[in-house]
Amino acid sequence: MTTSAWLQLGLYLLVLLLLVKPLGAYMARVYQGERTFLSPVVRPVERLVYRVSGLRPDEEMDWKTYAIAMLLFSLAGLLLLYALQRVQSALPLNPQSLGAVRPDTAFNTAVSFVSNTNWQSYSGETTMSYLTQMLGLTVQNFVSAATGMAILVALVRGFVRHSGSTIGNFWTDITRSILYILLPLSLVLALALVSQGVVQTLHGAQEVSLVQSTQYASGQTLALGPAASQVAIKQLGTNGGGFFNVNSAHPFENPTPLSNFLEMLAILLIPAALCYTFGKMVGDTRKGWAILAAMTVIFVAMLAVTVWAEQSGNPAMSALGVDQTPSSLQAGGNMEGKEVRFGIADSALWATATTSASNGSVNSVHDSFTPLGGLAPMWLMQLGEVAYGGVGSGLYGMLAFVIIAVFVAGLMIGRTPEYLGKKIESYEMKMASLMVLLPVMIVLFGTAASVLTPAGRAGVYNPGPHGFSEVLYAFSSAGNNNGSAFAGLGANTPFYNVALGFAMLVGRYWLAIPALAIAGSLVRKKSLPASSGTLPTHTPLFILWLIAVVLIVGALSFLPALSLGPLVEHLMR
Amino acid sequence: MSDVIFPVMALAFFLASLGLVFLCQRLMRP
Repeated sequence: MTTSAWLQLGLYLLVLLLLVKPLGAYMARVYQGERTFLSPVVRPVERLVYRVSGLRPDEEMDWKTYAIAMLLFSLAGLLLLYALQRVQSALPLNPQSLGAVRPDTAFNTAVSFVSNTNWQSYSGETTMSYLTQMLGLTVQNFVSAATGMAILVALVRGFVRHSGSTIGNFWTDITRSILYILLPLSLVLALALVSQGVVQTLHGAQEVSLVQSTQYASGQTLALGPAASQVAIKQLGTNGGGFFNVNSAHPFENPTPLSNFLEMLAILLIPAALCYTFGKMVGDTRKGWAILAAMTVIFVAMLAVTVWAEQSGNPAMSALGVDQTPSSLQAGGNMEGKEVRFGIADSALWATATTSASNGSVNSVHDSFTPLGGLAPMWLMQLGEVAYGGVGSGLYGMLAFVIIAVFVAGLMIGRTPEYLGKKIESYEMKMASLMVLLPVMIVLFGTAASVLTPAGRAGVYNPGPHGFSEVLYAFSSAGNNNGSAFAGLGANTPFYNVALGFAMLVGRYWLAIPALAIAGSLVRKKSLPASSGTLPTHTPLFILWLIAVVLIVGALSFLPALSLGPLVEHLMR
Repeated sequence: MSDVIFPVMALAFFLASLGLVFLCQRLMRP
């Protein structure tokens, strides 16, 4: 690796970890209803929202009411987004006069954006009108992220409160998430991105002349649009759906090294900071730091594998005598599918960050990574998107692993399993097991169904292990609500649009429901004071144990499937 | 026809999800 690459990766981690405490503490104040420095501006808007929508912000909900509110809100969003895509040709802000989106694609896209997955089987600039991008997709970027954060906060209240039945108010939680956290951060990031040259306009595509005409063309169509406002939230809300087809590899979506750094930082910012928020809310920040440490160790290990694999280059190219060593003239390594301006380090870092955070945006083509370089991002998704995971969903997924880790450790050493003063009993274990095993089943069954059916195989353009990897990656991405694509798979077909659509729905809502059920169960329990028999859950030993549990579940679940895809492809080289 | 099928599919999923909510509630009872 080059010195520049080391410096960039180090700077990235340093800035990220430095921002965890201030942002995490701020979010804790927001969710605890305390005054913040934005309150003078935001509080009147918040009150207006409650008044207009007839909400009583202090009305508490039990877990079932909270879950039903979350489900109804998501269903309404899904149906509205579907309808908007189907009638966009008759609506304004459509300078390219784009037609209605195909029904199966509209279903897939509506599910994708409502579930915070943002898998895209369409090409943004040739499919979606500006109105659909703004009113449909960008709005869902905000509300789906806020929904994940709300579920997390409800679960945290389950740990914090005792001998009660309520876990907060869903409507208040999403309103506060949007007004105090997502909107201000998005505004700042969008302005920063515009300063770097990310486009933000309602003008239609522009025809320009080529500097040097070719025998094929003398001009080019440059797609434009209100990109910066969408890019900001798609990075911050771990959404990931690009305004343009090639996502953040597009120079109008990610034009400079600074825009690239800011967009990468935004991917992990909120999921990482929420660990500190968690620690603050439960009254012991060491618990939050411990979880953040576990996440960071997994992330750095996978980052190292990806950077090493990509920097090592492609042996097939070496056999042809191509020089793949880094120098002042070239990045070296496997540059296929990567932007020259980003090189190996920033492409590998983005790929690792986007798959560790259930973001799914890309600045390079993961399909063109080396087999092991592609395996690391794929496995990060398969681990359940818990390191760092989606905004909210990553941490509530990791808390399911914490429950399992505490329970198994308790069994091994003969102590009563408890976490944060709450006894962990069979009900919590059943719900946590559902949260861990459901995505595994979706991914493996979905992949198997695709490679066994003609409709599934019809989308595979690279037969063999690489094609299998593409299908496995697609279901890993959808089933864990990541949304990135390996590419290379013809996924805009009714089969994949419906199959991946259901994978996204199950991956999101059938994990959120058990998470809320755990909150509902915990909140009824008494809070026990820590004693000499309490397993410490902030020590390096517990951090290692938590990492082991996550990796063992991931390895046991996916090693056979990975062996048929990237591992065998690596061995065939 | 498709504009009926896909929304109905979404509705069916969310109804099943409501079923999961009530199932989890039922399991919670001692």
